[in-house]
Amino acid sequence: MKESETKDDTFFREIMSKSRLELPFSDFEDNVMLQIECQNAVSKELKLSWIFFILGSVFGIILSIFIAQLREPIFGIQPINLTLFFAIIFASTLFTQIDTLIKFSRRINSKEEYQ
Amino acid sequence: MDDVYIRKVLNGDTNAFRFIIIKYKDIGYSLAMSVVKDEFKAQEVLQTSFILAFTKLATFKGKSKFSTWLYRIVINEAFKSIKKQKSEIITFGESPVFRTLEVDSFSSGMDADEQRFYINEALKMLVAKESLILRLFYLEENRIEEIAEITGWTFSNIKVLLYRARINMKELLIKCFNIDKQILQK
Repeated sequence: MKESETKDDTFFREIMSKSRLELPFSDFEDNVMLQIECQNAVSKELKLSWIFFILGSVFGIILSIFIAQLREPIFGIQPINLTLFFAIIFASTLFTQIDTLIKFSRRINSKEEYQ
Repeated sequence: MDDVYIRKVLNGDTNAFRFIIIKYKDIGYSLAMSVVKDEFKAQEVLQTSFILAFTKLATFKGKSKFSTWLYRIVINEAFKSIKKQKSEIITFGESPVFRTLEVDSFSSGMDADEQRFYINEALKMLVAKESLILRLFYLEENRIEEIAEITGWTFSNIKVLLYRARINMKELLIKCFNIDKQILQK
């Protein structure tokens, strides 16, 4: 039994040594490297986007606090109106940008997961 | 040698990953082909696997061999790919290729390229797990423990699969393709 197993193993080792395949696409590694570089660039841009988003948000909050403390009209606009106008612009920008960023981050992460 | 390139990649030298691709692309392709049975799908699987390996390289702790870690990714991606497409894997005895090959005259002997072609055709006809296990065990000469690590299958499962794979492969080669041991060993 043991002997026949050994014969089998020799037989399969012999035939399987002929089953090695060569990748028939010569530009394979170039394609993979190109995709990796693209992915790296996108990841870097995404990180930068989050950094600038956070910086912008902090700056916007500071600015809205500063505007709320104004007592004198600026260019003839009352401080209360200016505060309200700025708050609306700031909130709408914040929500649309955070939505876009979250969607983009999810798309990149899911791509990284499956690629 | 792999360690040097892995360290280089982790230190930011993306181009060092090219060495890993060149070194493992052929065996990765053979493993992917065992599962997906189509050269374009195998190429896609391999591409996805290398990109995944690159992005997750930091998670490779070196507890196992790098090849084991990479093969696991390739095999997982290959099975994911066939699951996704729900493609029917050809089982031997049902393929049109099989019928046309039957009439060929193997008895007159074959050269190395012909042998390679028919052996790979036979492997394509085997179910995914069987052709995969034959390649891992006999071609890559992995031990049962390593195969268990790569595939996540149990030892007994691997032994049963290997036994079945040998029987089915022999049947394909000897009965269906009319290839006998003497011809193959020429």
